[in-house]
Amino acid sequence: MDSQRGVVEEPRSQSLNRQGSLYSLTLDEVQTHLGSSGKALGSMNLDELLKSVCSVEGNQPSSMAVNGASAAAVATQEGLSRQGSLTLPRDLSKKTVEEVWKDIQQDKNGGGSGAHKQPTLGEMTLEDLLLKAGVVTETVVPGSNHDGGPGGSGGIGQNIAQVAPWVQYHQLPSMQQPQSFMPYPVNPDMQAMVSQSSLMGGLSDTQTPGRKRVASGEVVEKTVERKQKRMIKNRESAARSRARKQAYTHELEIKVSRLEEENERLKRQKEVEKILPSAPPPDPKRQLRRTSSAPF
Amino acid sequence: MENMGERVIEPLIMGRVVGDVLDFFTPTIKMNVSYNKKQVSNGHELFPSSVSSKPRVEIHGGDLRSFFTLVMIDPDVPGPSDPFLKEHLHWIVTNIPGTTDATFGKEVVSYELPRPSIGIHRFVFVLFKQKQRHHFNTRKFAIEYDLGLPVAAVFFNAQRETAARRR
Repeated sequence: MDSQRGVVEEPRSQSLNRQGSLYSLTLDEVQTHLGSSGKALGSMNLDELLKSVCSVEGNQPSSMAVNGASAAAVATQEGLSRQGSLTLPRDLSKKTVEEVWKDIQQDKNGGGSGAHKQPTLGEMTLEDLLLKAGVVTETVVPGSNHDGGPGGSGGIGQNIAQVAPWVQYHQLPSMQQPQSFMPYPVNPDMQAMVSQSSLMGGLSDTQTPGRKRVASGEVVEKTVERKQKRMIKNRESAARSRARKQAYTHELEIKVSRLEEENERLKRQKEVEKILPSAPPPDPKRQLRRTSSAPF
Repeated sequence: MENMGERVIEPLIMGRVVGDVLDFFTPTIKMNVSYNKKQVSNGHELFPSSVSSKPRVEIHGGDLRSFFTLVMIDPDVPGPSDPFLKEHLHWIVTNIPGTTDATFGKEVVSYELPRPSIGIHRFVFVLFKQKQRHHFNTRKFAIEYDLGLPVAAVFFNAQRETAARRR
């Protein structure tokens, strides 16, 4: 197995990002995770394959939600499964995995770009498969500048516009999440495959030709902004809630202590009064008396 | 004057009333605000339906010759996360004599029932002691309120009246 791929099981630090995390699954792993519920991978068509992968992801929110930044992860995962499958071009979606694999083998023999390193289908990652099937362009980049047109017939580098924003959702949350089948850096070889270069890394997508790509970049940026704002607002709200609670608790403590003191004082006073009768005698001066005579 | 204890103001600080609404101060009067016999405690939450009528406000302190002003406001309008309308005025009662309650004062701004729209609002009652009527200084007053020089004046004389003199 190519050393570039590394060992997928090993949880990598998420300071690399989650780019292509979904795609980094090798097909063997996808098979494993689909378990007995999926049919044999090879005979699945691409549509089914993606759907089952999505549902696998969708079923794993708890394993995703390992760390504090889980909410975003869960959201993206759910967003993923809600988005359902990619909209594949018809001619591709019906192809089975095996057929696509054969195509790839043929390309390899014919083109021989030399970058293919997977000797067997099972070791190929989902990403590679989709890429080579022409479903997806390289997953590194949020704003790669393919033009949005329908383009060719499934050749490598074809851009499916709907794919891009979906893909980018993965790239957003750069979180630390050690997981058994996720974290994986994008194979740099991918970039060589793609016909056009694109922006790297950042979400600032300034002067790229192609309206659809620019829109995606902006959408990504706004989503991040919105998430951060939401987080800040949430924190403030939590702080206010704590302040309310603490204020009331403290008030009650003060009242309790005051009442306890008064209670003690009254009890002692009662004791004292038992010993010494202290009721004052009625004041004789208060009794009624004539003070002046009639004025005649 | 009663010993209030230094701790009385602490819940006001924790609830950020001292900060958002008031500066730090030393309470010297014991004030009881109660809706339907239930006393208002700092930080406790009440239903808007239970505060729809003006509360009883007792002033335990001062004397009959000292007068107090009561103000009620909401600093969290329209919502605590973004209170761009702060503060909303709910009630003002002036000339409340010491040791009495707000019914003895003058309602300068009539009571408006709380109707928090967004989030959890704080509703704050603040009591001020009015300056004494003795040692009033007309000149100083005019300066304080930037009134300038008077535009008119007139005076009359009077002395103590007895039953004998009235006849």
